[in-house]
Amino acid sequence: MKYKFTYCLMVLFMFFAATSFAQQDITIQGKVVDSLDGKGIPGVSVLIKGTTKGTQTDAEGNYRIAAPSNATLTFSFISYTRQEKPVSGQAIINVTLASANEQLDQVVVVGYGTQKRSQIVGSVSSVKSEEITKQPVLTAAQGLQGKASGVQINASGQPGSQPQVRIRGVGSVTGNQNPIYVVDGVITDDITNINNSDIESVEVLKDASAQAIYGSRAGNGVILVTTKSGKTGKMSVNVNSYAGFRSMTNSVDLADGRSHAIYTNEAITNTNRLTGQSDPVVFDPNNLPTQTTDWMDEITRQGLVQNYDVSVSGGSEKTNYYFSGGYFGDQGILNGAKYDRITARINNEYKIAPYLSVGHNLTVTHNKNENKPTSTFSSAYRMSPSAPVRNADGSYGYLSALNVGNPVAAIDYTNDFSNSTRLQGNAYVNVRPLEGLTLRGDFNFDKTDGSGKIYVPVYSVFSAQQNNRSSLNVINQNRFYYIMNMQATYSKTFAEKHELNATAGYSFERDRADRSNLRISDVPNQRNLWYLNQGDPSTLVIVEPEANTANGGDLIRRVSYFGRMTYTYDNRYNISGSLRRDGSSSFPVNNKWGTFYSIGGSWNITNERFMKDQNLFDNLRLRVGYGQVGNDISIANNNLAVLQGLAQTGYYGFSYPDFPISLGQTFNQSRDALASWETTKGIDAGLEFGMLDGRLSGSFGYYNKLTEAYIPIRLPALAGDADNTLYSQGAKVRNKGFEAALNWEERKSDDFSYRLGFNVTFNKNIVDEVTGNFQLRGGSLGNGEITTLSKVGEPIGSFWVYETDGFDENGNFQYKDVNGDGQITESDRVFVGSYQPKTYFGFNAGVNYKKFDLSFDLYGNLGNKIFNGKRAVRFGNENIEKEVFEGRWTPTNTNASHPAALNTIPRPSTYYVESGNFLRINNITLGYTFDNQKLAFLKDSKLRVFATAQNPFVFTSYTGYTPEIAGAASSNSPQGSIATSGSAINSGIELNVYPIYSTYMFGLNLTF
Amino acid sequence: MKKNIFVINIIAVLAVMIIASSCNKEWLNPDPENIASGEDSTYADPANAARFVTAAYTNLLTWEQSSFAWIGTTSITSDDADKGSSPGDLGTDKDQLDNFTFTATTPSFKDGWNSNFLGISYCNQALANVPLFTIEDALKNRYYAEVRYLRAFYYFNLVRMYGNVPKLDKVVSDEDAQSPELFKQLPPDSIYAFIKSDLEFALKTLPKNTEYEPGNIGRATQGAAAALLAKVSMYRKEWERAYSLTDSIINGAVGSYALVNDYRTIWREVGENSSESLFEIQSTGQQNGSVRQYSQVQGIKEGQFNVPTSQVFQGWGFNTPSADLYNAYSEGDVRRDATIISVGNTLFDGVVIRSAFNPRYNYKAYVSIRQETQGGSTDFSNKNIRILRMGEIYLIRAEAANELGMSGEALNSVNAIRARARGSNSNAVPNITTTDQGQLRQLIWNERRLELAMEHDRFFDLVRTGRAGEVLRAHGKNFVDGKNEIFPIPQDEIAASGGVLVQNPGY
Repeated sequence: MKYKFTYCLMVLFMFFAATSFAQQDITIQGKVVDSLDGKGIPGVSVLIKGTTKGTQTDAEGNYRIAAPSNATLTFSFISYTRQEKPVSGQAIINVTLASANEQLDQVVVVGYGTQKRSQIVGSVSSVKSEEITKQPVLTAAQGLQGKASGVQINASGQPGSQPQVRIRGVGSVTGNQNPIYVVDGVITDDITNINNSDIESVEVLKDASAQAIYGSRAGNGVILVTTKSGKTGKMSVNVNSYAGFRSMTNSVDLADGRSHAIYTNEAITNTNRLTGQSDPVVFDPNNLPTQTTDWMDEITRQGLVQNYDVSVSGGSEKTNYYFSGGYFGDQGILNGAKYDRITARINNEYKIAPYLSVGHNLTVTHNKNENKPTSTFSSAYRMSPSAPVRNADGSYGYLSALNVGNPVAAIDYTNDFSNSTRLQGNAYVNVRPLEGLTLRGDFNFDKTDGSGKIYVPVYSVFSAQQNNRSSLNVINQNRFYYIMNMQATYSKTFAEKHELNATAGYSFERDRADRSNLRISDVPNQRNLWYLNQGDPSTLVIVEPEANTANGGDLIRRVSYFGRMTYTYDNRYNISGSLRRDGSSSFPVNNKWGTFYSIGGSWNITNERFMKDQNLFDNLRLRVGYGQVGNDISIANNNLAVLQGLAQTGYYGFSYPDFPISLGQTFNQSRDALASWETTKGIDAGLEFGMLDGRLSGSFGYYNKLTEAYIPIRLPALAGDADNTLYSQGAKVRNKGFEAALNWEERKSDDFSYRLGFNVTFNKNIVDEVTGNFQLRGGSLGNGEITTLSKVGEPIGSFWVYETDGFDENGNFQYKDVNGDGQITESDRVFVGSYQPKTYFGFNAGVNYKKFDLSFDLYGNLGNKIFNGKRAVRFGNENIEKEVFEGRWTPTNTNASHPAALNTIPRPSTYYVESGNFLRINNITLGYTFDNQKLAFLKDSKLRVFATAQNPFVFTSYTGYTPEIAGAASSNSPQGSIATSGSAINSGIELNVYPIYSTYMFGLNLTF
Repeated sequence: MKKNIFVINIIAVLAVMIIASSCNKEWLNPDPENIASGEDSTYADPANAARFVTAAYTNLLTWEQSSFAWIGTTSITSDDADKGSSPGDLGTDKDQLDNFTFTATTPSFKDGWNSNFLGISYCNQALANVPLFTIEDALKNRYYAEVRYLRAFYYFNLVRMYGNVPKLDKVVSDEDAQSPELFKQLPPDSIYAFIKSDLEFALKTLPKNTEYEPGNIGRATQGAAAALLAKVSMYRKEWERAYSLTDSIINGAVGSYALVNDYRTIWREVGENSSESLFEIQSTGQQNGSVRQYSQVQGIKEGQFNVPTSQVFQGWGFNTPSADLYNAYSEGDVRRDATIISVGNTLFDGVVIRSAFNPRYNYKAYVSIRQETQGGSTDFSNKNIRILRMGEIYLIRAEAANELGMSGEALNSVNAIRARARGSNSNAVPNITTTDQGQLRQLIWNERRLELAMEHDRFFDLVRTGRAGEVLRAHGKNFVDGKNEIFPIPQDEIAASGGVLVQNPGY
């Protein structure tokens, strides 16, 4: 009943609004020029005051807007003082903007609306689209790296994948720790479908007072992505393209064939000595191999990356339009892999009446993947170099004493294709029934249809790499998400000095997914016959029916009420609060609803009378905020609403095959009846300033937030839980830190300008509390050893290892008996840091000289540690690194840096923990612009050509492939797959190798 | 006005959408998507009662329950098998199992502990939930008996592996899981008493194999209950019970059973669920319903054959029969080449092994691609694992008879086994004739080794007969008396119990 009442109220309200009086609009045009040089300023935002309706100036600084004859227009642009002009019936309004060199009045997207920079009380970082589009990256998220303080990005090297994003540290222990993305109102966790050229701006909401308007979705941060729309005026056409190649940035020197053989034999001999066995050695000592295959080289290549897109935009009084189409292709560096994406977008707005406009943002994306197993990187690391790629007779090489398959064969035998089509967007109605009031209704949706086929042919390389019967997997996945928003925004200035902005709204959403994955055997090895009906029907199986991940579906529904109110007095004092109430179907019946809020204030000190006479600061602003937000997907893949959920346990064949198999089903999942969202509460304070006529600007921020995290509690086997895990709100994790950003920008002359920017974040991650005596262990290596413990007073996922103490007489590690009880037990483990960086920073610089432009970006991490898991897990006879071989302990080299060769499972120790510090040159771009073309058809056009190096160098002391270890760590053991998720308690372990790459490319931008 | 009408239309459409899709009290309380639950129609559908029971069977198929860890703890530990594979390939911890250098963190013991207790939990769930269905009492009782049989099976594993284990006779509630009471370990005597009470119930309740409706091959039967109870009785030295139970099986009192004539066929596909079989784990050869990687773990490693390698099921080469086992067979004993694949031999499907990484492999895990319906992949073979079969029943009877002083009956039974082992070679495997109780006891024990080699019995049998230390040390293993008769309780489980579980002595 409660809902019904609300709806009916809203509907009534909208009827009232729509039928209320309409003010007559007139068309106003004019030009906006710079007070210094009198040149037109492009991109100035022209808004009808008190509304969100507006336009921007074109390339010459001209604009045209329809507005009520009694309206007031506001003109604003970065680094210019905002101006307001009453229309008063004039048809032409020319404006001269003075360069105020401050960003205070820039309008910033803040979620369910915009706010003036000067009125924001939370911490919001904005990144311009140019910063993103100049990089050859798939997603805007990757493009953010180093651009904003408080935002840590961990690159992923896999074509078609998103990076890991951490905003102001990690609070969640398990489940999802990535922020949500809001693309024109669509809440999503995947923005791989967005063409970067279509992005107008990216805003990162970093603290609770900015995030609270997204309530239970905002716990990991919110990234708002706004796509471009057409500007009133002349049609503008943009063409962007680039093409280049990617290659591996760092490689690790591995032992050659002979060294591997010597090491392998030594390991067996040494192990025999330890265990008293007498196993024979693998390689004949008198006939050691001479062959060396560089497996990493054999499976990688210089991969082509290319992007082409074109957009057409413009607008008239009645409509604005933006259309774009693009292609992005990325081969990556692994042989045979390929990712292709085609995008198209139409963002239009139709002004039906002065008080009514409707519009839509629609994008369709199709992507096609040819996947090759990334596990081959690990195989290439572990494979014996003494085996050839192919033997003389053409068959694949292998080492029989090794269970690692030939990586080249693994790539050749993989046929894994997937594709998906995604339609995302919205349609909206804006009604302005009276001045200052805007009502908006929008319907946002996201529909994905994906399918895939995996064909495994019959092959036999050797006993550890063979498949005796062909199989075909046919995978289908689709998802439909929608969210309907209705909101009202009111803004009014009373008695000149009192400015009030209020937004209130209501939304409901539904997210439904469906998946199937079927497998059949005996399908011929011909691509045109890869269909289920070509196989043997008796072999048809539903893949992993007991898990909901391959076959099954989900449904989540949510309802939200939200509101925000900002009051500004005399442009000096702001107070702002927001409130959101969320209901979710994912939670148990008594825990469905949660309330989230924030309150904050800011003080524009430069507007005070006592600051009038100073000219040091153009702007000085202090802000502080407090709030509470939530994370409603803190527990991965669990529908928590069902306390008594039956789980499938697989099938059993009674009288098989004469009778069909029988399904097993029982209760084997323990659930916490109180499970709900994870809350994060925090305070944020900041100081923003602009100085020296806008040349220097910057901000300092402090934050301190506490997450009541869900943790996996290890249940005893006796509890009857199949995965021995119960998720419960059992830990408190604090992130506190300080961040600073400084920018210097100077325009020396028309021919020369430059800018420098630096941002840094110091974050302290600490576990404040772990309820009871739960042992938050993690970082399993898949060989029975764990590497992390999250304990009170230490960062999440701290490496917890034995401390090495020299070698014994056989060259094996000795460990420190830390507690002095005379034996080495678990209580001798020590904490040696975690993967959470203490500091991360970005630096960027740019110079424009005549027609040249040069820019330069750096990104770095300090104070984090990496566990070199691929060294620690060496299953029988696998290859080793050259350094490990050469520096190993032998009776003649007792002053060694590495232990003697041994096959027993080593204790996780300080030996494997390395510094994760790195400094990476992110991007170097050199461009040259041609304008005032002599050729007639290029008249009025602007052509820029550029060359870019992305990630050309990484400076790090880490000995592995990359210090940026995104995503999951999992075991590559052929004898069982113990996969651990990429959650905070498992992060920073380089177990699977995935090298990152450098990109070198050329491109052009053409505008006319 | 025209414009206003348009506006009103739009808004009306919006309004209808809003009201239609959302004026729904149930918006936040949908039926759980793709999850059957204890709160919906689950209990109205009798098929779900069967599923609770089937769950207790499906646990027999897991990697943890019946594959690598089980092979390691029951076979690689014994003198019948070596670790196998390549010298540096330790199979995670199989070298530790082979050499008795394992500790409480050795992963295989965790697998064994966890999966057997999970199986017990599934049995208890079935016992708690089946009563909630409206089905015939007879069927309910059969279901109870099936899962109690399985619970006894899981407990028999646990008590032999870990000695003192907690007794779970009901579903563990969330509160119970926190209680120290849950972890109270009982001595083997009490656990055996619990096992026997389950088996006695199963024995009197379960149908005979001849009484089941079609479609039920693979379920626990009266014969299976009798066989397991007989084996348990043997472990408890309750010889009269062991004798009478085995007698009843051989007499056909609990179902229709007989030794198959050809020993070599027992572990092949043609021998699945034969008259020899009292209980075996059913493996379909499909991804759904197969024992995970049982054959692959033990498969021939790196073979060269007379046929293309794609026609031969190969694997990782673990758990290779030892030279000691090979030599334990007398010349002409058909069981040797039916148990052990030796390089150079011709297999039943015509495959000749010209060379391979290891000298011997477990024939009882071999699957023929050429002549059997091997299934979709090497991960999921159709190899049923034989748990209890007539060969063992005869030997239990022989041992019980000998202990009861009935040497004639003992000789009858043991010689029935030897007669089959003789095959067509009348001079081989002569009958045992001694009536000396001590000598005969040793001979029967030896016969158990030969008959049941590589069938996961040897290590437990050595411990049962008190010979483990002597035999295994002679085999070069670091077996410590008073310690290694049982395995360590997994360290993780002691931690998860809050330190309540008490570690076995010596670990």
